[in-house]
Amino acid sequence: MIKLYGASVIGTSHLTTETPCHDAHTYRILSDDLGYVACVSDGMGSASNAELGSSTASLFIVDFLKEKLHPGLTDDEVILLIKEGYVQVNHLLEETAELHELNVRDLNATLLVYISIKDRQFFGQVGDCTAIGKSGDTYKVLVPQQRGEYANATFSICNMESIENGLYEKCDGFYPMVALMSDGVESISVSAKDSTVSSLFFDPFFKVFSHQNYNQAEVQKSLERFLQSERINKKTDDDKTLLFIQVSDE
Amino acid sequence: MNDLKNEFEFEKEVVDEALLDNPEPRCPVVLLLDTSYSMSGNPINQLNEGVHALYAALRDDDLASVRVDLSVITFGQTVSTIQNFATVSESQAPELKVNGMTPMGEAIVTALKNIENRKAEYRNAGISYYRPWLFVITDGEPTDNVLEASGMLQSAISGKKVIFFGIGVENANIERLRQISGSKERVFKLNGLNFKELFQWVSSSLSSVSSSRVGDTLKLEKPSDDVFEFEV
Repeated sequence: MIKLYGASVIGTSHLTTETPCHDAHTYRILSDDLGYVACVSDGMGSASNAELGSSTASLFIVDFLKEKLHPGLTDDEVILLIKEGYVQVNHLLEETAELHELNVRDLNATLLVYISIKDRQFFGQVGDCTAIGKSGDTYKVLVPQQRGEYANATFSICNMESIENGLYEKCDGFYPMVALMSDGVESISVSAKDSTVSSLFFDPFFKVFSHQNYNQAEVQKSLERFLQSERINKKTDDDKTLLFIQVSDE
Repeated sequence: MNDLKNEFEFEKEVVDEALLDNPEPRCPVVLLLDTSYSMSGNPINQLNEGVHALYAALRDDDLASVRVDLSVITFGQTVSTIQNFATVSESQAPELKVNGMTPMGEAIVTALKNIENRKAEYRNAGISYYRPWLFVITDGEPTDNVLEASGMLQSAISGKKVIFFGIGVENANIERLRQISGSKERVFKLNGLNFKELFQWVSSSLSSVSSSRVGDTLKLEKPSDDVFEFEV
């Protein structure tokens, strides 16, 4: 059985400049509960229509992958499929920009996709979102940030070279509990120095899955309240996305 | 659902200690200042005031005060790092004194080496950083050999390792500075001795950088009326 919940909330820096939330997240459960496709996309602050880029990309990639994924695919075939999804996203963003009479750079966004299918997990990564996994009591960064040398330089799905240089891989092991996040959340929950994951931060979010009254809508509201809280806004002024997923035998 | 609300209100469940304090990203900035004897009198006084104004302006900006990592190197009698890299929240504006010649070549080499060392320190500490900025301010021209400095500087500029500005005052040899840096458009002459205005511009530029993202292109007016546009 698959349970998930998530939220994307606007950061205070965007409230100040009256720009919308540039983060987006989407997910699809695969047929017969075989697994899921989930993604987070972070529109870049310098792009005038970044929210259009992140929402278009995330909606497209989960549907594209859900339609084409099936358990008979080999590992290499899944990896090729993920990369093909990113190339298709790039083409779609080119078309979208043309339709809105924009430069494709106006839609600049990062994109992280995480796939769980039966007992295998894969990811695609262009940019600086992050995925962490929990197995037993152990946390691990599953998908590291992909960054340039400088803090204000990352990679965009609007750039074909960035897609060519993206990470498309099979995960080492299977993680029943996974969280995807944008860099606004990563900055307060994963150590920049040694990539240690704050278990104190993530434990409550995974614990809720086993609550007898678990209800996705209610938990999402609580997550939104948390991400919008003054305490979090003091730590980061960026948009924030968190998406939690649990695969269990129930 | 009340049970769930009470038991899993994440604002209460996630304790303060769970939130990590990752270090702020840093923007290393080096002011390479000519303190040769020809700067004595009004020029050095104005330059001192300008540097103080820069520190004050950066302190007034919440982000810049913790992200701009400022070092001051003077070149005159000797090349001296009179202020190691530090944020303005943890350092004071140094006092500049005039003396000697204009060993600009050695100063540029020192600055570029210091920048690379600082970047290594950031990486070891897990601190992300912006592209470093290097300002050279002079009223003359180098009195030492600049061959090595020129090669290193031009390579750093073309390799996007540093954002360079050369600023000449009074009798500065602007053309020489342009030759050394290989950068015509980033070398300009300051109107009079208006260091305050110059450093206000530096401060506002650094404030923009320290809140910038992903290849932002900054448009900045410079004191001599032109407009800069460049990727940070």
